[in-house]
Amino acid sequence: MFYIDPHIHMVSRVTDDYETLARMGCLAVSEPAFWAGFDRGSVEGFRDYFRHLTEVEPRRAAQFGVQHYTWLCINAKEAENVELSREVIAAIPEFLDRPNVLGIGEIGLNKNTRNEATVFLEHVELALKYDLPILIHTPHLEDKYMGTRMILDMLADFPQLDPGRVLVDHVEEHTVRDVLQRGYWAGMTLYPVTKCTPKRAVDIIEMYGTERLLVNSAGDWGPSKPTAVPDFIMEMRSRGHAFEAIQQVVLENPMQFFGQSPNFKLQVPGRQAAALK
Amino acid sequence: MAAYFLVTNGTAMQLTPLDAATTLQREFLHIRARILELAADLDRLDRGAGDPGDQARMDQIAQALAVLSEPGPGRAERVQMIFSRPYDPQWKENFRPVAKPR
Repeated sequence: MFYIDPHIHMVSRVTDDYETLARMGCLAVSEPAFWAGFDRGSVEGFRDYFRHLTEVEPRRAAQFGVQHYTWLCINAKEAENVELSREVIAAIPEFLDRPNVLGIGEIGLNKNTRNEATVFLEHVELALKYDLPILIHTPHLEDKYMGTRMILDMLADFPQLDPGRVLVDHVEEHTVRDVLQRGYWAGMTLYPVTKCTPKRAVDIIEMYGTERLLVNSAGDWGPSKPTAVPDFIMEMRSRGHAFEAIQQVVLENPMQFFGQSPNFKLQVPGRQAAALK
Repeated sequence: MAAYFLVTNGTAMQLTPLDAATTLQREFLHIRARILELAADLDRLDRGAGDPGDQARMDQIAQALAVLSEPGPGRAERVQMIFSRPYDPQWKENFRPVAKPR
């Protein structure tokens, strides 16, 4: 089955992973900007990173027929440095006309601090200024509930923001309802320990339906599995879910959300294209 | 009674295709294995020299284990909330954004 991984950090993965993803049916990946494992020291470090995301990764992916899309921002973990964050936000428009840029992300909160909230708000202003979709990171573990509620509170202060152009990622059992009820898209990240497992993600689908829900691997340099979306597909199949329901979550929903960005031009090959409405 | 949802082509799909008996048959060994893992983890905590030290975490574990014996639905969400910091509806009062430079 063809699918899209809507959140994966391919700069951290080896080229063999692109080949594995292609063999598993992955048509496209979307790579939000994130933390490198250390705090970058200058805006020039971010310019180099944005070149990596918009020049190197699309070429590497294309070798295996995988389309590479990206989102730009300074990640919440580096947002404690408000001065550097503002320099990066000022530099982002230099890259917005690159053909694989979908929007602003993954912005959000990490430890739910005042500085992180400040930088989050300025990223939202940037997205609104350039009329771009937004991809949001919600915090980890014990900070997720408070951080997600804070993010939703801040988004509500932008009445001009269309919730249908915002994807709130890393939702779990205690945050998914609020996100969906307010009209946002919700992403479930399949991580071995700290986020959702494929089984729990399918449970959430069974409780909330397939509308506006996505699944991703968020594969990165930490413990993660780039083929986690196929694991989700297998769990759906083994429970007897219909092809149409699985396809909606792993292919149609990402296509619909990303399709709001003018740069998203995915071609679905063969018979599965005919199965799409 | 089964619940249904609509996929994008308008087809009605059953939310939970597996009935309870099939789910138990399918999951029993996995549930048994995970309960044993938990039991062994707690035994290891007891065997370890000294005090675990972090009573708040030990309390969270005890509360979460108690939730597993409560009636459903919503056990997973309740366990998540035990391991979460509470939401402060007044948070904005302490979070005035950092002023932009002129």
